[in-house]
Amino acid sequence: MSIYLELFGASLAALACLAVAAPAFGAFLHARGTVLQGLALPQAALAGIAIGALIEGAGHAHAGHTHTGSGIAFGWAAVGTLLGLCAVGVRWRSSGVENGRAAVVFCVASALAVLLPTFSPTGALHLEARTRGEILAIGGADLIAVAAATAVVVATLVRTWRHVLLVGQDPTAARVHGLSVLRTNLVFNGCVAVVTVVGTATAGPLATFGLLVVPAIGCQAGAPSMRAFLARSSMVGLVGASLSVALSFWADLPLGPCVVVGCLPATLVARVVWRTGS
Amino acid sequence: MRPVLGFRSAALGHSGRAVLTGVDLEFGAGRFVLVEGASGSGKTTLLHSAIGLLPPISGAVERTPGVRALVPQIDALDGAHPASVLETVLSGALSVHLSGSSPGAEVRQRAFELLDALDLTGFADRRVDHLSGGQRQRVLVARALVRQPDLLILDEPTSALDERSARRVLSLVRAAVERGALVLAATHRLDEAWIEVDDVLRIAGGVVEVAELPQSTGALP
Ligand SMILES: Nc1ncnc2c1ncn2[C@@H]1O[C@H](COP(=O)(O)OP(=O)(O)OP(=O)(O)O)[C@@H](O)[C@H]1O
Ligand SMILES: [Mg+2]
Repeated sequence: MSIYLELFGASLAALACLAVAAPAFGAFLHARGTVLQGLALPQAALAGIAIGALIEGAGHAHAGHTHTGSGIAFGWAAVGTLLGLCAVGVRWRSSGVENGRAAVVFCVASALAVLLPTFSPTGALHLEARTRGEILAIGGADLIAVAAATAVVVATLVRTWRHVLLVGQDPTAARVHGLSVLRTNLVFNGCVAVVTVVGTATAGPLATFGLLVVPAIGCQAGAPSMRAFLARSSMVGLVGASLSVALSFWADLPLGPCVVVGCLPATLVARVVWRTGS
Repeated sequence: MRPVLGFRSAALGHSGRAVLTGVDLEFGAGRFVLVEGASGSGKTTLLHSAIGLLPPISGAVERTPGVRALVPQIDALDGAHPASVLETVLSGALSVHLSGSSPGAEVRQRAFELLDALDLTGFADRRVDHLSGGQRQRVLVARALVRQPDLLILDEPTSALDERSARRVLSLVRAAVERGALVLAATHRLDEAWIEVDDVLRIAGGVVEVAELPQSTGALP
């Protein structure tokens, strides 16, 4: 295990950052009824990476090499996420229309993520590695990017969760109080986008879905407060991610799907242990 | 006295369709104004126009800058957020700047005092979606009062309350008026609970008129 730690230390640290940050935002996505964003945005980020791989592949084919470094992946994931976010729209809570759009974004992004790599063999390899969540690819520079990005969004959430709560719980009151509903939503959705970009570009879309949407659902009904809901979701995410690393290591399975599989029992246990809200 | 709120030949309504016309009113600080009228007469329309949620169709509504608070008519709290009573009340005292600090000890103290005064002692850590309708209505009153507003709008704040709770709410509102707040409250039933108001406006047929104050029959202590 110690060699494993040496080899994958950066990857594990990056996953831990994501496992703390993503579920807290997922908790708000569940509460706001916009959880489909948690599926649509990582898939859009993946489609962005697919577009990038195609363009980069075409540009470098004649030079005899392809550039599939993760700096590029971050950039293209950001492009995809931003396009996805614009298509879904930024609202205080879901309307049927917004959920519909998120579903369409997921659909289109999934199609692109399969179609585009067929035009570039290296792109296909690159994308498959992302989908499987090969955390081997995470190096020191990636870890710094992930740690910095998650630190910023977690600090932002700590600072603004009461505002996000008021805007979600009662937007009319927020307006009366002079709080900008639009600005609050932009900040919140911007943070979700950042988590999506760094998550998808490093651990892949499956791990990002898994951490955004799964842990929170086990904590919502039993949480005595919004603060507890956020904290418990992060805790479950961290436990789930630990289980998934163990599973991925011992059974030699790709990490991406393991994160989803690992989060499930953690979430179920949370649901049972924290059954009753106060 | 400098008016806190003024309607100048205002037509008020929704989507360009006027519900109230020719509204010409002016209110100073430290007044408790009751708005009375039948269901659908336009009470909520008047209150929402007063607080800036609804722009006037014509004419003008003028407000001096200050802290505003609203107790909505319909329980507007979204139940999917597992917020506690204390979190909900404290959300009334948030800084409007996203970078602002979280509520301090003094605000928390005020929140607990309000919960006590509203018969919600011991409910601070309960989830707000696990409360009764009347309890939630009192939480919303606490959320508005914790702001220490200069302009306070209450839309049928006692509709889900028994007489005792209603009197507790209205005495807290009266205390806010004594501190200098302008309060506009709506009711469809003018009864003795409202004995402490300073002015009564009656809405009928799309017009707002000044009406008689409610009379005490001596039935209340
Ligand atoms: N959002 C809206 N769009 C269009 N018309 C509206 C809207 N809200 C209210 N109205 C109309 O405006 C009129 C006044 O409504 P308002 O809500 O002000 O009445 P109210 O006196 O508060 O009634 P209640 O006692 O039932 O709350 C009604 O005829 C209503 O149908
Ligand atoms: Mg009304």
